[in-house]
Amino acid sequence: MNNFFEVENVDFVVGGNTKVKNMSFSIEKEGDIVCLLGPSGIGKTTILRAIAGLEKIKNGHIKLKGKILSSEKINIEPENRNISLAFQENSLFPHYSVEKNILLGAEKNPDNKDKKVSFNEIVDLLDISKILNQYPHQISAGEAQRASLARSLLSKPDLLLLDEPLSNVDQSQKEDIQEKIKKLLAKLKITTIIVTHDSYEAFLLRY
Amino acid sequence: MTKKFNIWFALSFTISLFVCIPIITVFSSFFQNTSNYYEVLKDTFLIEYILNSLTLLILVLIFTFILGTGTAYLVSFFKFPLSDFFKWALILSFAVPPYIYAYSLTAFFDNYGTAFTILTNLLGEGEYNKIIPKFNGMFGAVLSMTFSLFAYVFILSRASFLYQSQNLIDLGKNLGFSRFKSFFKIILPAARPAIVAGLSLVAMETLAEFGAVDFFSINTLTTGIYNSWIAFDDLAFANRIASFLLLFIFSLFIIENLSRKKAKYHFNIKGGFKQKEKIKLKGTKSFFAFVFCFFVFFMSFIFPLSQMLYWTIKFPENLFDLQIVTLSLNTLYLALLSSVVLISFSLISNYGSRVTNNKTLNILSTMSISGYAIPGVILAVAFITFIAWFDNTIIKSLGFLSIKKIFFGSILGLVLVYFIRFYSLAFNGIKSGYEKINIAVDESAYMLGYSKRKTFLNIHVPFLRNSLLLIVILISLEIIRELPITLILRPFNFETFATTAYISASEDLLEAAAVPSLFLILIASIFIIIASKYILRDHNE
Repeated sequence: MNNFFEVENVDFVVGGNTKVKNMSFSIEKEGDIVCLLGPSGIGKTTILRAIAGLEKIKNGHIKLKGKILSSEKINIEPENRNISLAFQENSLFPHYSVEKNILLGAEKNPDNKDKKVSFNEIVDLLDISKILNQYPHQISAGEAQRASLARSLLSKPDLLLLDEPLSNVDQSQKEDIQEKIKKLLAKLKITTIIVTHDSYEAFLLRY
Repeated sequence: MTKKFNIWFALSFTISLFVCIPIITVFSSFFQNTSNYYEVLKDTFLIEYILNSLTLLILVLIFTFILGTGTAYLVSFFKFPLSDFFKWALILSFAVPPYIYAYSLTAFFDNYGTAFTILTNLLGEGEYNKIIPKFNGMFGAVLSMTFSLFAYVFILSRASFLYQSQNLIDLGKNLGFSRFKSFFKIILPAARPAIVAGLSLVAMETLAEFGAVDFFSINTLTTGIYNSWIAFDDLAFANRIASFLLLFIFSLFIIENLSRKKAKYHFNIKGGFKQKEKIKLKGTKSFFAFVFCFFVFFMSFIFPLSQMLYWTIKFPENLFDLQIVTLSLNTLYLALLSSVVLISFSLISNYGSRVTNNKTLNILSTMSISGYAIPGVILAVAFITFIAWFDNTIIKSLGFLSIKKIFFGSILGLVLVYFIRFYSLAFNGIKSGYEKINIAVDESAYMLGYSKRKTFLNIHVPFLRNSLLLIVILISLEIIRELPITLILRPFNFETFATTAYISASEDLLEAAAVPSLFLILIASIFIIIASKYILRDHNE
């Protein structure tokens, strides 16, 4: 049986140096949530970036829905993979309001009826209604992270990659948001890989 | 993924290589024969050229340091009458190029000049020519350049002073430092990289200056280059002098670059920054602060402006003789056309560097932006040398017709050399705008399905809009004031305000030079006032 997503015998490299060697893992079904847990500097972000197509790989291959995305010979451009990576740092477009930033996510897959989610639903879930009219430089790091997550969710990707998604969010809000994200991902059946060094978060979010 | 050879790399590489042509041409002069002029000059004037250039450089640096940091310190840390006005008024001096300042100085202090007229009107007839000081020669050139160029030091020092946190000032107070001691022990050292950067720009401009030194008949390396080309028709030797000057300028350029990099560390954008509260000066301190700033503002802007205005009113026939509309259109046409070309290509090369992140391209980009450090005379001569060589060795050997006419005495040639000269302004301006865009922004655009082209057009260009506007203004300002390149390469009968003023002044018709000079100052002032909105943006704005 074909796995929904698969990484097989891949060496992950950054700037020509191998960061993670001979790694294999797979996600069997669409909608599953997987956590990569480990201490800082071990190469978790490198793995996500390579899956997203932002770094090349050496050896092996990365497959999504039976199609090779990356190998030593094949390398599909990031914009042509239906994958979304929510970055740890602020990656909002600085000249657009938060609302416009999030709505750009909705433009990516407007016809995907399987994963129906509204803008308001995501805004409420992530508690960012108050900052919609603000610009990225006017909001806190935690708020920027949630806005970025909202944009990724609205883009309805085949595979969602979350890099320390709530690392800047207040502890008081964190658990509530974690629960809500988990429910939403389950409802939308968005396959997700979450990178975190927080074991509590890993166990809470995994499916 | 993004590090691969692609169309962006090819475009960036070609643009950067084109801008490097004059540097390669100048240094290749070492392998060419020169005329006897070299032997003559080597034994006679060469030492004088070098000594004059150095004297000019050292004196201008000392005076611009005093005026630039002095005024920047006063308007950044203190409140006194018109202190907010001086904040932007002092940069109006940029509207007066050194050669126009030189005309004003001579017009005012010369025998039977404006000073003589004023004294005669006030005190009746007398032998005033004997007591009115003369600002000719080296001293006149130093004054002209000082008042015209000090604003480089003013702008960069002020920006650095603004970024100094109140915490730093409080620290000085805590240590029991007097205001005087705080300035020399804390404020000045912390702003040192910015001041050095400002002084380096002054140094480059001083060494490159042609109009003022030519007017005062001072033999410098720059006029030497011009003379060896114009008088002795010896391009190879002109390039050889240029290569010596370039080596010197490159060392200044490296110092300036290193200082700029260090200066970044002082920009404490997030956390720990406490906005300064300006100290309100009272009594004599307030008076002296006002007098100092007013003196600098008056001497650098009001004095040359009013001298040119006075002569325009006194000799109105010059106003009617001059084709103001044609000159305005020519000047603005050159400025805007060059700005559009520069911005378009600089955007492409910047984006190319960003997406390819290729070491060769980065080195070539760094070399290519050094065009700004190369005096206009050198660039024009190097350009002519290169085209002549290309035409003689490549085009003719292939059996094609000569292409010289396309480049010499044409708008195309002029814009191409402006391009090389001001490429760094556009490239660095866009680069500093790009530094504010996190690379994750590009990557998240790719995640949203944006191609590189769409990311460039839909994300980068709109974000850089303000930077681009500022760059257009700065390039236009430079081109309006530019003299040697325009003088050498302009099409027949195509004049700008700068060339018209120069031609009149070189024919000893200073009164006739007043009208184009006045218009040049006024147009440049408008551009400066618009640009000041961006240049003088405070920390919290």
